[in-house]
Amino acid sequence: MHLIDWTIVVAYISWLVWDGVKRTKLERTTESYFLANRSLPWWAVGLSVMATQLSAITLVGTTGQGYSDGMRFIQFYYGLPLAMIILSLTLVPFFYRARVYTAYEYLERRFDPKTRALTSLLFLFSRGLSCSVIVAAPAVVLSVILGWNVTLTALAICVPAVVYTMLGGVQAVTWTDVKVMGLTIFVLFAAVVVLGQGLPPNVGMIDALHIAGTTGRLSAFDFRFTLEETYTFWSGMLGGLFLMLSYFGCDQSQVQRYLTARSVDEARSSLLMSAYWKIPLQALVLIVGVFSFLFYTFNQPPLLFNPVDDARVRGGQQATQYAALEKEFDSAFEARRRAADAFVAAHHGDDAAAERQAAEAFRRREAEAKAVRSRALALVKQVKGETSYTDVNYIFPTFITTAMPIGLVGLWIVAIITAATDSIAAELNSLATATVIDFYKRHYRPVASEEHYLRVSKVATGLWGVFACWIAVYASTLGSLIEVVNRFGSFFYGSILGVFALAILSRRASGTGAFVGLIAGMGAVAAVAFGRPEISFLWHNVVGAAVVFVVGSIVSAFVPQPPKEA
Amino acid sequence: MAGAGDERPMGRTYVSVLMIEALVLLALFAVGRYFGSL
Repeated sequence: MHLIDWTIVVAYISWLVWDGVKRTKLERTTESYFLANRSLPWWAVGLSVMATQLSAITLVGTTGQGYSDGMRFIQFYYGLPLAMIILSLTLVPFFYRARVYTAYEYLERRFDPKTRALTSLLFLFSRGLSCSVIVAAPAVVLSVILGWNVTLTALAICVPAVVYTMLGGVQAVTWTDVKVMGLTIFVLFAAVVVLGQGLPPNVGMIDALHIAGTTGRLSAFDFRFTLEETYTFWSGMLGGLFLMLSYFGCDQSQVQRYLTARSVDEARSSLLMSAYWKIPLQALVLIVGVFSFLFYTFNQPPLLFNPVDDARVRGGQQATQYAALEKEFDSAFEARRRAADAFVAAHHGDDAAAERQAAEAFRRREAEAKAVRSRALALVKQVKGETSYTDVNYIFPTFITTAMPIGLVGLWIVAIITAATDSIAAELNSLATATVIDFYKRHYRPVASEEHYLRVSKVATGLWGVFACWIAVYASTLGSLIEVVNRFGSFFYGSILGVFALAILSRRASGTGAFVGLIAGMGAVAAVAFGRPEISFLWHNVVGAAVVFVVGSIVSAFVPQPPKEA
Repeated sequence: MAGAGDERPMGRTYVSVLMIEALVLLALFAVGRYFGSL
């Protein structure tokens, strides 16, 4: 990396930390530390909601998905706008009027302390573990691409977040999110421009889109109804709807964002910002991936995008086999490039039949190049002794470090680092809130001064930060196990949504019903996940929510809610 | 500072969210069909 890029990375991260730390003087009470005295404008909260969800792995992984599969991943978000409307009508006014700090606090008022404690504990457990993924996944990618030490990279992501979140509280988290979102949108547009300039002079943007279209990469709809396929219109609309309802409505890391808004309406508006902008933003991320494919259609890509694995196979027993594959890939690339040129020439002509033939020829060449790459990926899998292997997360970072102009490299690296930093900052802030409000203040020290609770809150943030750093450094050595940890967290989402649905939709639901329903829901999701692993995880949310609601309603009929004491 | 009681009807906003989503999805569908027609 050039000195200018290094300067940009160091300066930007230093600015974020300094700006976050200087907000320390605003924090006098736990309400200001955790909820900014419910005083933030809707647009800042809305950007914070979007930034928390947009992690570093979105920037490196989703662009890679755009490269290999095109736009189909966007279907994952089709249920989001409807989820935001449902939440604006239901949970947002409930939480806001109840003046709660955590979503789980509401469950004690509606049900009982044990339901609150269990859901809060599940949040702490799943979110505590997810810290490892948020930091470790991009740390591994950056360390491989830039040759950095993986432990130091994980710490470079984690430590700034811990410092500014611990000292500046939710104000620091929110205003950092605003800056990071601004930077992210800028670098995404800049990437499209740079990728477009990397195309040959005879290939315009529209020609390029036609090339991508012939391979199906611009298709954003798959109307097949299948439980096995993760990204279809129906899994996005139904499974995605339940996931988004649970994530934005019942996960403290998101709920806390809109509890900082000035009013119910501003809280609603902040959520609706995602409803308007999330799908276009995600389309932009995927388009960057599609344009990476177009760039590497005309510019020679490496056979493997992960340089460490490339060196490992090259230096191992399969070196001869790998060299032959590389030669084959070079020829396949040349043939594909010529086919793309021929397609563009045919597209500029008037002969529709010739254009169709050229498109068919390009598809064949693309399939050949893809087949060679698949064999290379299988070779790495064999060398590493892993059951699955992909280098999709390394595609766009490879473009950044080898083809981006100086200055933009630094901005992109800082965008990836801070996307992880701001996501983990929101997690730390919400983990500390749940710890202090749902456990420390509720069960251990119900009466104390505001200064005491503020001190404890900062200590809790710091301790969660140390835990996050430790587990992220450890997780960065786990390889593909990281994904298993992440998937484990998704076991709880649908079930927790089911508890909130019981609380709001069923007047007869009791605490014991909700508690038993929650355990039954998690059991059902685990049974589906292990018994029918071919069913996509998006459907787990529907299963979890439905089982909690049905079991909770049945148990509540037998064990009704005891009358509240006057 | 506005309070929790400052609520206005947001029915039109919700309808506009759904209409804009429908337009965005329609645009994505049209782009996929147009460029992927060969």
